[in-house]
Amino acid sequence: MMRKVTFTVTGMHCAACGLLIDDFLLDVEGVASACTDLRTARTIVHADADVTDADLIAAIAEAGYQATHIC
Amino acid sequence: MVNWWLILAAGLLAGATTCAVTQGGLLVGLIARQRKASGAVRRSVADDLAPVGGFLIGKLISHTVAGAALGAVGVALGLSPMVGTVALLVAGALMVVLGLSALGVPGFKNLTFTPPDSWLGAVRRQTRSGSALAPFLLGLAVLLIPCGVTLSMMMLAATSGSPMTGALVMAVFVLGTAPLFAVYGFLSARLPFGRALSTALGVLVVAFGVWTFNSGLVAGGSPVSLPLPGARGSGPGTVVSAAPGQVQEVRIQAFDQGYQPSDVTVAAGAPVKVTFTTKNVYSCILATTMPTLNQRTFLPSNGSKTLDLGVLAPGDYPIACSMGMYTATLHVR
Repeated sequence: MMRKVTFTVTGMHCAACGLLIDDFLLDVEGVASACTDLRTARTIVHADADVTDADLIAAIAEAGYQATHIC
Repeated sequence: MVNWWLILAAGLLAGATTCAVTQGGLLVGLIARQRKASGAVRRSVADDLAPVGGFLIGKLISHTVAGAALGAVGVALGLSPMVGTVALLVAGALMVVLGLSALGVPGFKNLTFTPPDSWLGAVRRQTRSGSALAPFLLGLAVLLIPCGVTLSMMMLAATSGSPMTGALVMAVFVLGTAPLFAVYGFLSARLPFGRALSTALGVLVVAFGVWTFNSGLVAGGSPVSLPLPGARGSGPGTVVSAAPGQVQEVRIQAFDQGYQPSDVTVAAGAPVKVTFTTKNVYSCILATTMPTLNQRTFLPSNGSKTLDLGVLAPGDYPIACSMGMYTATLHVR
């Protein structure tokens, strides 16, 4: 079963940052899609139910950005 | 030359900051995934040469072509010296805004360039591709996701006065980023983007903005400008004279880095012709303007070109390259 999670992300400064965040998230096993919007500073992730918020926040942190779960 | 070293330095710093961390991160991720998918093992640095080299070649090609195109657009739009001057002033102001945005200054924080989704999709496809050509294609595609420094260079290319100078601006910038991309490939690891690097980037873009804005002031013949390196010409003053009523022939040699002489005095009341001569010149000085006379001329790389100025009223008439980096003054006394 898939779930949709939305994060706010800080630290982005150009479009490549959003792509890099998505790239890191897609490398997490169980993530089906990731879409980061520079304008709204939000990342929307579709992932398997067993992928935790902490896993996703850790992947974003590994890319060099700070994420906060909002819904 | 002062200008090319500055652009090379911008590339080096951009390589150390945004380019290496974001684009390099995408490249390293792509290489790692492809290697994992094929079951290949990284034995030495040489294994990274092909993908990193391919990426850099792709990036060099796309940015150089874009620089030439922007230079050509600038020439097409720059029908008068005033348009070129306004373009420099606007480009400088935009760079300052981008820099303040990168620094996170309140009010500027969200003023970033956001490419259309289709452009982002084009880059995204290459980062997840399994094709051997993907690093090269990613290098081509990153043109679509420029960082603040790259945008600054694009604006410089557009106001450079010729397609060739525009192409060189972008090519030198990309070559400046190359060493750190190579190191990045060597490390084969993704590095987080630190706050210190973000600050360095912002300061750099603001500095380039101020420099470009100042160049606009110089190119426009403004009496007010900052004494930045390369902004003002220097050299011995030359006095040109002719028999009363005869044409006063002024000869100025245009070099890559300035005019010689850069200070010429002629007598009022007699017509003036200025001949610019060049020999193996390939800088922005090839687009020379006399802003207060609304004159603009494109010099050949080798040869000469004469401007017939007629009889001039007493005063000081600035001469400047299209980017406002090199100047001379014609004094009419």
